[in-house]
Amino acid sequence: MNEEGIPIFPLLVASLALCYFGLEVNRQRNKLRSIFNVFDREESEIAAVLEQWVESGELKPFVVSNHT
Amino acid sequence: MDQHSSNHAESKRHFKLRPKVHEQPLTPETPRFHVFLIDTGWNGPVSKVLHEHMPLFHHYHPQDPVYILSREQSIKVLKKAPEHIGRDPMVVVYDIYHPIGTKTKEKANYHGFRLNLGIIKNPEQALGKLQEFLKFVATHRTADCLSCEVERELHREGLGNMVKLLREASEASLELL
Repeated sequence: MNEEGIPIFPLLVASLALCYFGLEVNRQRNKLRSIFNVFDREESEIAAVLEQWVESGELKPFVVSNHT
Repeated sequence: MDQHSSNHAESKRHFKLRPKVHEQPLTPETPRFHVFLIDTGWNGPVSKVLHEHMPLFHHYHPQDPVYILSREQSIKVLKKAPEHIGRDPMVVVYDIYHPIGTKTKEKANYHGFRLNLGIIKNPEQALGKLQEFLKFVATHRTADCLSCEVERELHREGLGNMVKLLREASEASLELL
């Protein structure tokens, strides 16, 4: 029987490193998508409230003061 | 309020965040976005950075109105969408441009993108994301398909992160050797 045939330890380390790399890439991708995301919604309660506030004047556009 | 009366109230409004068809081609000066800053004050250091630099958004894009919600208004808004609690301060951008020739239906979907800065704990990182965001809006404001550009940008950033990760891993392994 060939006892030196399969180098188990390096294989184990390499597969662990690969798993870590995959998990880390996935984690960073999820984080990126949670920070910056796109929406495309038929109905939106937030948008309805914002429309109502802007329409009523409760929410006004930001104006930069020239006196600063 | 039921769906019918809500739709009725919406149809009476003049100010709408839904996209509208524009006959003229987009130019860098065309008003396209409505920007809202929602902040309940969870994340003090990031809030401070954001409020300090928000005027820059207005300076770069004076044609796009920026609305800064008060703490009370932000709480009211997030009560309607509790899934976003803890992600604020967030910048919500509504895209009101609807390209000619895309699928037409009675009411176009609300369309835009969100920057959830509350997820970031470090103010410097938040500032970096805000700069990237501003740059993205400035460089892609005439794009017909903005969501395609967002996907492309995320993909590019993802690849960048992967390269960074590989570099860090190789540096760490060199140190071990």
